[in-house]
This record gives sequence, C-alpha cells and structure tokens, in this order.
Amino acid sequence: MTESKLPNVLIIDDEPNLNQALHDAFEDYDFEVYSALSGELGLFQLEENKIDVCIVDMRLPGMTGNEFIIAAHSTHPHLKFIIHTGSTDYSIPQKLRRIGVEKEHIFIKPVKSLSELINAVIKIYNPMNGSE
Amino acid sequence: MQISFQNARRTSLGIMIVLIVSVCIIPLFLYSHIAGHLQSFLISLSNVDKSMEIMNLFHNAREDFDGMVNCRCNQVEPVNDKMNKIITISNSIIEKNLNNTRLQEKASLFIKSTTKFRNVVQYYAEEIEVDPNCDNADQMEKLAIETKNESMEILASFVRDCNEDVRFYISLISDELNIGELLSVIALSMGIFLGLIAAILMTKALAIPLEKLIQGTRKIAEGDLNHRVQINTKDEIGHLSHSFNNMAQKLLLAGEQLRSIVDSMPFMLLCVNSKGEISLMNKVAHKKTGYSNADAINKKLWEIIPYFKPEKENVLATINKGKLSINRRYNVISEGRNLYFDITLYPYRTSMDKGAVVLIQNVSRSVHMEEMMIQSEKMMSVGGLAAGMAHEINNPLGIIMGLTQTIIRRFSLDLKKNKIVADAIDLDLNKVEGYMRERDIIKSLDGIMDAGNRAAKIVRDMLEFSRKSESVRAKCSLHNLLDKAVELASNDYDLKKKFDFRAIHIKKRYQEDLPLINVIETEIEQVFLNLLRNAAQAMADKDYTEEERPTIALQTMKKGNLVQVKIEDNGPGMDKTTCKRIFEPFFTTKDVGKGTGLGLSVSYFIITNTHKGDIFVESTPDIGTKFIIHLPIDGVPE
Repeated sequence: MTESKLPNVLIIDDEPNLNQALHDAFEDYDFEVYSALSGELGLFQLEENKIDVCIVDMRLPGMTGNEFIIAAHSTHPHLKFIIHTGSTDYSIPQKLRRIGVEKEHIFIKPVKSLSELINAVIKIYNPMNGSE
Repeated sequence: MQISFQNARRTSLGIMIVLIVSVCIIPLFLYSHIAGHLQSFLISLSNVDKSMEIMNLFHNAREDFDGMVNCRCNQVEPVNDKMNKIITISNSIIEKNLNNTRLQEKASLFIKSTTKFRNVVQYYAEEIEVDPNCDNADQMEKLAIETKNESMEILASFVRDCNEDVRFYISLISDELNIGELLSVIALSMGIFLGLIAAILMTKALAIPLEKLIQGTRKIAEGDLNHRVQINTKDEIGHLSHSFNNMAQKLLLAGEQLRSIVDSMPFMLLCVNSKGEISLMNKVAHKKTGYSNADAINKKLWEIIPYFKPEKENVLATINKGKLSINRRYNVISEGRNLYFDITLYPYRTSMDKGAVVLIQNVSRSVHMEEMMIQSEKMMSVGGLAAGMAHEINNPLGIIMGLTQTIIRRFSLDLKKNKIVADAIDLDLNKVEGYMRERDIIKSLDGIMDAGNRAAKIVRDMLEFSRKSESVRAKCSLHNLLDKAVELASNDYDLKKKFDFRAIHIKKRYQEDLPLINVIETEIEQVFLNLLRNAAQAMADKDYTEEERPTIALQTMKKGNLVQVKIEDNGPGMDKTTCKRIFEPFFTTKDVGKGTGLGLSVSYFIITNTHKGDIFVESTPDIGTKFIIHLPIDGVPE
C-alpha cells in the first residue's frame, strides 16, 4: 500500500460515534478522510473536496443513502460507493445497480472488523490491487 | 267384488226413481182410469134417476089416459104435458150418453113410441070430443093402449139397462180398485227389495273401503309409513284414499328427509330419554360408536360412548332441569391421541317423556389449528419485534465494536501513526503495550469484540425472521435436499465431537415420483439440517439398548396439493410444555452457549412465512419426536 494509491474517502453516517470510529480507522491507515452526518452535508463535502470513494449509511435524516448515491453520481460520475447499513434485508435498487453497486459492496453493520471496509474501499478504487 | 261408491249411488238413484214411478205414477194412471169409469158410473146413476122420473111421469100419464078412457072426455092436456116432459128428459139422456149407443138407441126408440102414444092420445082425444061413442074411439083406444104398452115395455127395458149400467160400473170400479191394491202391494214389496239391494250396494261401496281406510290409518299410526290403501275407484272414497296415500307418501318423504338431514350432519347426533337411553342415532354416531340402531336402542348413552361415563350425572341433571348444556373442548385421550369434543345437550320435553338431543362434534382439528394460529401469531409478533429491535441494536453495536477496534488499533505497535504520536509526547509505546498486556487490557478489549460479534450474530439470526430473501426459487427435489442435509450433518465437526452422526441409522421412505416443488433451496436445506442436527444432539442424551438402534426416519409423501416431509427420531422425546414452546425464539433446552434457541424459530419462519407451508411437532417422552412439514407443491407467488 503506497500513499499515492490510497483513495480519498467520505464517510456518511448520522451516528457521530460510528462515523468517528470509521474516520479514525481510515485516518490511521493514512487515508484522506472526510465525514458527513447527512446526505445533504455529504453532497456539500463532494463540492469542497476531491473524493474517490463514499461509505454510505442508508437510514439518514433527510435524504436517504440511495438518494445520496444517485445525486452524487449525477454530479461526480467517477465516484465509487460502499454501502454500510444496519438492515439485513437491504436490496439494491435497479438505479444503483446501473451505477455499478453490487452485492459485494454491501456491508451489514456491525462488520466484524473495520479492516473489511478498508479492504473493500481499496478494492473498489483499484480493482487490480484490491486483494492486497 | 268391488263396487264403487259412485256406482252404488247411481244404482240407488235408479231404484229411487223406480220407486217414485211405482208409488206415484201407477196410482195416477189407475186414478185417471177409474175416474173415467166413475164419470160413466155417475151418468148411469143419473140415467137411473131420470128413467125413474120418466117412469113416474109415464105412470101418471097412463092414469090420466085411463081416466080419459073411462069418462070418454077430452082431457088430453095433462097427458100431453107429461108426454112432452118425458120427451125432453129422454132427449137430455141421449145428449148425456153420447158414448152409450145402446142406451141412446133405446132412448130414441122410447121417444118414438112415446111420441106415437102422444099422437094417438091426441087423435083419440079429438075423436071422442066429436063423438064419445063412435067406433073410431074404440079402435083409437085399443091403438093407444097398444102403443102405451109398447112404450112401457121399452121403458122397462130402458130402466133395466140403466140399472145394469150402474151395476156394471160398480163391478168395474170395484175390480179396478182391487187391481190398484195389488199393484200397490207389488210396488211396495218391489221397493223394499230394491231398497235392500241398494243398502247392500251402499254397504259394499262405502263400508268396506272405509274399513280399509281405517286399517290404513291404524297401520300408519303404528309407524308403517310404507303402507298404502288399495282403492282405485274414481268416487269420493277413491279420492279420499288417493289423498290418504298421498299423505302417507308425504309423511314418508318428510320422515326420510328428516332422517337424511339428521344423517347428513357431520357430527354425532343422538337422542336420549330421561334415563339416558338412546332413542335415535345418526349415521356418524353409528360409524363412530360401531353400534347399529337395533343394538343401541335402550342402551345408556355412557354404555355406548365410554367417555360419557364421568358425565353421567351431568347428563341426567341437564335432562331433568331442561337446561341447555354446552361442554366445549372436552378432552378425551383415545389411543394415545389427544381429542377434543364440543358436547352440546339440548333438552326437550314431550307430553310423554323428557330427554335430550346430544351433539358431539370432534373439534380436535380446529383446536389444533387454533393452537397453530396462536403459535404463528406469537411467532410473527416476536419475529417482527426481533427485526425491529435488531435494527436498533446494530447501530450501537457497530459503535461499540468500531470504537473498541479504534482503541485496540491505537495501542498497537504495528501502526506507524501510533509511534509518531507517542514519540511526539515522549512516551514509550512498548511500555504501554507491556502494561496493557500485563493488566489483561488487550484481552478485555478482545473480550468486548468477541461479545460484540456474538451479539451481532444473534441479531443477524433474528433478522432472518423478516428477511426478504433475494435467493431465487427453483423447482427442487426434496429428496436431493434431504440427502444433502444428511451429508452435511455427517460431516458436521461440532456434531462429531459429541455424537457421531454416522452412528445413526437413517431410514429413508421416499415416495417415488414426488413432484418437484418451488422452493429456495438453501433455506429448505437449512431447515432439514437444523432438524437433523437437533435430532442427533437430542439422541446423544439417550441410552439405547441393543435392540433399539438410534434411528432417524425420513419420509416424503404427496398429500393433495401438498408435499409432506416427516423427520422422525427415536430420541428421548419431549414433554408437552417443551413441545409447545419449541419454535419460540431463544427457547432452548441445550446448555448455555451451545445454542441460541433460534434454529427452530428460523426454520419455522422459513417454512411458514417464506414458503407458506406448515411445520408442527409431535413428541412422546422416551419414544421420540417427529417433525412434520407441509409444503405447497405449486409454491407461492413471489
């Protein structure tokens, strides 16, 4: 893992502590991390900073995770998305499938280890080296 | 011989007419006949009268003439006068006796001679007036006397004739009156005779059929509703018999209808009298008790249905008080099966006796269904609760685990950043790490992680309840799934530690050509595996004898539009309470930590919710447990 390869990550979760935990984990592994407590703030962050991968919670105040992904994709088509949700019955809407969201990009809270998320972010940003 | 009432009546009417004719017409006829004769008789009587008058007149005239002769003087006027009278009377006789020619002739003859006599007397009178002693006078006298005698003779014969006429008519009338009497007697006796015949006919036509009718009513009253009166005449009696037969037929039909209504009742229906003796049973009652009508009649209710024995007093009390009694869910254990009956006693009272109609409905099935409904409802609410709760728990759980990982990570020597920060504040990270290890802080943190992971697993299992599976349904062979589950169970490492699944004898009784059914393969397989694993774990707790091998029987069967899978073990079995709670989430008989108590709940939801099937359990302590699964063949619309 060289620094140049690491993507910039935006974490969208309305739970400050969880957001913090994820933020810290990515930060500790030298990612450039941004946090937002809602989809609306997330869109604002996208305008302010260069983001490569978003980790999105589904149940959010205001716009939902799905809506955020659709909105974000329309303005930033290069963005990749990881879904981090508490619902086990989450199924990917057709619109998100077209954007490129797949089953392997879905993580059900709580993940056993945050490294699962870190690996997923690396893999989605650079599919060739993801497994490392 | 059968004589119709109508015919008898017609005959009687004929006889009546004959009687009227004989009694009225014959005398009338006789009367008209006698009346004619009576008229002739009266005429003849008046003839006699007139002839007598004529005789008197003639007698006087003769005396006058004799006087004239004696004195030889012209005293012709009195004679003439009388003669004219005689002629007038004689003419009236002729007028009145137009039918009597003999008398008419005689009368006219008499008139002739009388006229001659008158003329002679007239002539004589004229002669003697001229010369009373002339020769002519003697001659005239002689002639007059001759004519007078002739007239006298004719008159005498006339009078005789008149008398004869009278006598003739008297005898005639008397004869006719005699004949009339005879005829009347004959008519009367004929009337009596015919009357007798009419009476016999009427008796035959009326009394005999009436007797038949009475017998018919008696037979029907005795209950022989098949009896019919055999009278086919077209008269009133015939109509009456027809109506009677119709009535009997309708009674029979009504009885049959009532019988078939009673028989068509899908439950046992019996009638008992005040002593509790059976008076009627319907078909179901015959079938269930095995008693025929003849065997059951007059037997006591509790002799025929043994489970009524404890209810004997209650039944008698109900009949005596005349109060409706309903005993719901009466529990009877028959051949090891729990049966439930709704028993209703409807008391009735007739003028003869008191009694009750007993209805016995087997409600075992609905009780069972109800239990299942309650179970399912309970499970659904628990499932819904668990799902809702799981969502809420996942977030804090994520925080706990995430932050714990942050702590572990930030004390780690491996992370470059930790060293940089520690160096910056002049802290020896190695010492800190050593301290944490000595004080078991790392271990504690790992403990938090472990606990978090366990909680996360439970939550995940709970979420299975409401999970909408993304798995695709496909036509599967349940036999393949069962075989696969057996294979998996045999290789289960956890299971092997305690009890080798391979030691269990697996008995397969698969129905050939079992239809493939539309299921989510992995889920059904999971259910089978769960059941097999539970069975094996339970069987480990039982000591088997030489003869009894630990056995799991797998059976499949098509049942209408369902497929039934039976998984039966000969393990230690369960008591009733355990059986009732077995599908409840978190209910487990296993040692703490060995099972979450979710396996069967998840199985339950997979079968009932996802696949719209049924799963239930039957268990007897020490004998074993069987799980029965029903799955619809057509699957369910997604």
